[in-house]
Amino acid sequence: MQEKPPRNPQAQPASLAQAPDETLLVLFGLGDREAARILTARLTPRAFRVALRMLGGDRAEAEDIAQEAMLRLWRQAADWRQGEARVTTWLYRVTMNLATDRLRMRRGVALDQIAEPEDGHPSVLAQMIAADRVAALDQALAALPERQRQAVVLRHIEGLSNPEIAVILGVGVEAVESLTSRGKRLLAAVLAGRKEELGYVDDRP
Amino acid sequence: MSMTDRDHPELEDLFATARTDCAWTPDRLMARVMADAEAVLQARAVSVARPGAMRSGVLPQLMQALGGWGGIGGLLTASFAGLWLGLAGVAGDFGLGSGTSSTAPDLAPDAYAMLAVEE
Repeated sequence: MQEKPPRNPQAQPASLAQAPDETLLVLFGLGDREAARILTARLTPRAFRVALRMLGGDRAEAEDIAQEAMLRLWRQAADWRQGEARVTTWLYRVTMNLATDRLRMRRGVALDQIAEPEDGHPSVLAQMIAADRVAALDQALAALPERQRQAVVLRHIEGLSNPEIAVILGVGVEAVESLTSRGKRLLAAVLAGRKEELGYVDDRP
Repeated sequence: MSMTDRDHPELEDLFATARTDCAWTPDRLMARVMADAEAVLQARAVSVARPGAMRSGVLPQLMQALGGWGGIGGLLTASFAGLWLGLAGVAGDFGLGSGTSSTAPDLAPDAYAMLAVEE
């Protein structure tokens, strides 16, 4: 990547890497490539994870959604209103909306189309077991109503707090609690018949 | 923030597995996102440069000074209104439109009279 002299002599890359998302976004809005690089590393995985779980584990589609969400962030940067919303909250909301649109477009496509696991990770067996389990989770998640799935993914995959999820989904905190607990009950019910298949009966200490 | 679930331990295990599953993001995605950032930076640089190019012409500069098309529209309206008022005023006061005798000859004697008084 082309090196660019720092705008501010005190803003060395080392300190830039610790800057808040919003600061980096404003810097990018002013034309800073280094800020874009740090934000890409920091935020793209989040958008990708959420999209991946929302789209039933389809990596290609999740990549498209994550890329589109990040592109919207780049375009928004110059007009970003500081202090109004957290960058991550904004990104999660955009990603969720894009994933929801994609789901609506492809409704009717078979749910058992699970992406092939990729190479270069732990052991093949462990990877297959993990892939089976994740595939099972994705299928079960796909059975949830949209809002429940969003709440469960944000809470249990992303580890967000209920107040932040409430902002992302545009509902109250109590509604988030209700969505999450109903979602998990339904997930458990859907997965109940597959415990043995997924190795949970024998694995349990 | 509690990530554990005592009621559904296998569910918590599935969540943990899923978190590991997507702990890494494909390099190609990171590259695509960074390429988009570059493209946005370049597009913005072009759009910032373009107004400078427009300002170099005399006409765009004049238009900008007059407040763009809106300003020019207002200016034209005001000009026509002034022209109409001017013509209507002349025609009314001096009867130029009618071609008959006007008030001008009536005024003239007074003016001469004033001059005569001064003498």
